[in-house]
This record gives sequence, C-alpha cells and structure tokens, in this order.
Amino acid sequence: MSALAARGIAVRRGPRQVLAGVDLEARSGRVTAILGPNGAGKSTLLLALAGLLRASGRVEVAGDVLAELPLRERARRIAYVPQRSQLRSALLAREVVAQGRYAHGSSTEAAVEAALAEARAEALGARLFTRLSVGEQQRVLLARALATRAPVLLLDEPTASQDIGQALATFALLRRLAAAGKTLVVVVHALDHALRFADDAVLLAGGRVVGAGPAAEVLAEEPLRRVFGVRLLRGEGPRFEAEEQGP
Amino acid sequence: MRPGEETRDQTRGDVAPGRRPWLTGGVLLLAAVPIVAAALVVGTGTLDDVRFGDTFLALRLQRLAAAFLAGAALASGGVVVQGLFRNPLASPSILGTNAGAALGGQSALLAAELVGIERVAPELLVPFGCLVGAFGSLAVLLTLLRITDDLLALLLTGFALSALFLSLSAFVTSLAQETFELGRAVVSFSLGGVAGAGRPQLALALPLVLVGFVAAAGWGRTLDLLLSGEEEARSLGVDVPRVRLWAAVWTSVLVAGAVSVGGNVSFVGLVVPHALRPFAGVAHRQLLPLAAIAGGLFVVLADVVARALPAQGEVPLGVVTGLIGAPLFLGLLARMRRELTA
Repeated sequence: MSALAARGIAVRRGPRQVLAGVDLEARSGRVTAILGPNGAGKSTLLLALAGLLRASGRVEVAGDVLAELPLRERARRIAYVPQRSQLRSALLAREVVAQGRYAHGSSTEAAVEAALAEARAEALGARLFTRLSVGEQQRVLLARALATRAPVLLLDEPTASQDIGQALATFALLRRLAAAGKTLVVVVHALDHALRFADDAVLLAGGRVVGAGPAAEVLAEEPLRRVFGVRLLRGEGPRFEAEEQGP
Repeated sequence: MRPGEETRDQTRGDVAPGRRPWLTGGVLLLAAVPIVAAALVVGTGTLDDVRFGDTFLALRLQRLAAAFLAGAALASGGVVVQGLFRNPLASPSILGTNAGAALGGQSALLAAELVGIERVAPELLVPFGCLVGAFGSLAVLLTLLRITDDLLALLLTGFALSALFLSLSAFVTSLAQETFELGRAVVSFSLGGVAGAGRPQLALALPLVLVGFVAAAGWGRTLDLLLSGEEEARSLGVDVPRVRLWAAVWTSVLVAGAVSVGGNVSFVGLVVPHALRPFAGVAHRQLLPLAAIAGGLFVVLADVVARALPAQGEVPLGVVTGLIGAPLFLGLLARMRRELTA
C-alpha cells in the first residue's frame, strides 16, 4: 500500500485547467520528486496532496481518504513545507517550530529542540524568524514539519533559496529522513538534484503526468527533451558533495 | 576582535522585541496607581466634602470601572482582529459591530422618545439598544459569511455594514434633532462617554466583556498560527473558517460590552495592541491580558483628561481618545516604517 496516493487530481483556476487528472503514488522510505517546467502545476499538485486547495479527485494517506480526516489528524499525517512562509510577525524560529506541535495539542521544549536538531537548525532557534535569510527560513520550516512527526512530508522546492552547500545538506537530510521510513514528496527544480537524490520521479507538463516511476527512467533523454527541450549529457563532469553527510 | 564577537554582532538586533511581558505588566500596574488615583480625585467637587464626598467617590468608582471595562474590551477586540487579519492596523470596528452597536443605542433613545418603551428600565435602554445593534450586526455578518467565507469577504462585508450603519446613525441623529434634549442625548452618545454608566450598565456589560475576553484568550495559540497565513495554519491543523467565525463572534461580544457602557470610543482597539507589541511580543496569550489592562488604563486616563480639560461641561471621551490616539498612532506608524526600512 502506498503511503500517499492521489487519483485524478484536477484543479481549475478560472478558465485555466492547472491540473488535469493527475495520478501519483509515493512510497514510504523513498524520495519522490515532482518535476516539470514553470507553470506545469508542481506547486499546485503539492497543495492538492496536502488538502490545502479545492481539487477534484481523491487523495489517500495510508489508505484513508484525506478529505474525510479531521484537520488535526491530517496535520499529524502530512506535513507541508512551503517554499516561503507568510509569517511577518516577530516570532522566534523556535516558536515557529513549536507551531508544528499544534495538532498534538501541546508543545514541549524537548520536541522543538529535537526537531531543530534534526533539521540542523539548532543555532537558529533563538533568532527572529523574519531576520533569517530565506535559506535559513526554509530550514526552520523543515524543522516545523519534522516537529509534527508526520510520516509524510511534502516540500515545495526546499532548496530554492539555498546556496550549494545548504542545498546538498538539505538533500542529505531528506535522504536520512527517507532512510528512517518517512515518505517524501519534493518539488524539485534542478534536474541534477532529482537524479542524485530522488528514488522516484513524477514529470509534469501542462498539468498532466508525462512520466512516473523510478527517477532514472523518468528523467531519461527522450522525456526531458520533450518536456524541457534539453539534451541530457551523461558523464563525469564537476560534481559537489556536502562535507557533512550525517549519520 | 575577540573570538565570538562577530557572531554576537550578527545576532544583535535579532533579539525579539517585547520579550518582557512580565516587565510590561509590572510597568502597567505601576502606571495604574497614579491613573486610578487621578480618576478618583479629578472632577467637580472634592472627596473631602462632608455631605457629598462618599457619593462622589461611589460615582467616580463606577465611572472608573466603566472606563476600564470599555477600554479593556476594545483593546482585547483589537488584538483578536489584528491577529485574524494579520494586520496590526486593523480595528474591531472593521467588523461593523461598533457601528451596529452605536446605531442600536441611538435608535433606543429615539424609540423611547417617539413611542415610549416601558419594559426596559430607562438607564438600561441605551445598553440594551447597543446589544441588540451589535448582535444584529453580527447576525447579518455571519449570514453573509455563509455565502462566502474568505478573509477578504469578511473584511468587505464588515466595511459595507459599517458604512450602512453609520448612514442609518446619521439618519437617526437627524430625526432626533426634532427635540433639543433628544438631539443632545443622541449626539452625546455618539461622541462616547462613561459619565452616565452606573451599576446596572456595569452589571450588563461585565459578563459580556468577561466571556468575550476568556473565549478570545482560549483562541490565543490558534491565532498565533494564523500569523503564518491561512494556508500554513491549515496545514498545521487549524480549522481556519471556524476560527474566523468565532473570532468575529467574540470580538463582537467585546465591542457590544464596550459600547454599551462607553458609547463610541475611538482608536483604543487600534492603537493599544499596536503600541504594546514592541514590549509584550506578538504571542496572543501574553498580548491579550496586557492589552486589556493597557486599554482599560488608557480609557480611564482619557476620561480623567476629559474631566480636567477646561470646557463647558465635559469634553466627550471619544474626542479625547481620538486626540490622544491619532497622533500616537501616526507616531507608531512612523516607527514601524523606520524599522522596516532599517
């Protein structure tokens, strides 16, 4: 059974069909990347999977229909990490992480510290969230998602504003989370990141799935040429690796 | 530069402003002493008067309680709507309940004069009118929100209701000019004041303000999450439409209580929470009680000023809160702008 399964997800905004009958399956212990050109509907699909916008179709989490679950139960099962937070108030990063405990009814200092440590964001806890760089904010948002203890994590371009070192560290963290049994669905912009870190991939174009399956198969030469108009060059070019890959 | 100095410099200024709620509470309680003393002493007649000293004291205590209650309710309502709309410049009047309550109070005065209302004690006529107006306004708001429940709809509906009730209030005021006394009473009510608030009015308003305050405090943690926007709050388990509905209900209850004892007192719900945030922080469970105390003291002080200013009779309370509140608000706006561009 898939940890997260979506069938026939369709979203219309005015005259535009943003998503047209998208199916997706994500399994536990694996990183599933959602890719596609700008405007393909990647972020919209992620919002629909999180149950955060009106969409037709059906999303199931661990076999239960998401729309039928109470909101707090949904939050305990699926954590959503936006690309940027809308928070503009003077909250400490630690308080932002504590928001992740809302669905559990209480927030303990230990749970917050553990989530900050897991996201390698301990040093940011006592700082004002709004004064952090966007990349640092993304780490705090990831820590908030971890604080929910949800088994499924949906992340919208979690490395979009991070430098290469931060980005590689973030992907290394996502790999560790997958190895610990979490289900990760990540909107990824960079094809090379998807090829290196994702187990599975869903390729979107014009609101439709044009490829789904193991990342190495989906991100092959022909689909990439069709969707992005690029040629895939395989070989040993320059390659970077995070110094600290973690346990 | 010593090791670690750069790190400290980088994080300087990151310390959250207003992480001193206890200190802020202590300062407010210290400020309460002279304000309460002034509220008991300032006014026509002295407490040393052998014949009327006790009466003066009793009347000023009631007046002090009414002013505090109105201010606490309006400031608490301000905290809730500013959290709900994620906008520190929102005021409880944004929901239209203030204007509805004021219309109810004025209409009660007019109806008593024109058709006579005998079932309600005369001193409770205006407070009852305010409650009917406030809850009538809330009922219209909630009915319209059943059609569409987004935040913009709430804002625009409140704005439209406010405009409607203010127009009707102007109509009632024009009708009241038929007789001098009635016209004076209606205008006086619309300018705000606690001079006429006695025990019956306090007994009517106190439960409303208490219930509104306790309920609003209960939503504090949820309102904190709304600071991150509705989408994020929902993803964290917040039932946003339900919070929005109850926040509107409890704000309206607070406003109804405030207007029923103090009439139309302006700027309190807007300025007080905004002014307190740099000292009390943004967390609602801390901000709400501090705003209630500060709002209460602000209106008590304004009432003292209203009594002390040289004028024929008293300067209306709403005029004083506006005269203090508007420049204060502009100062806060300028500071906020400086901080944003720093």
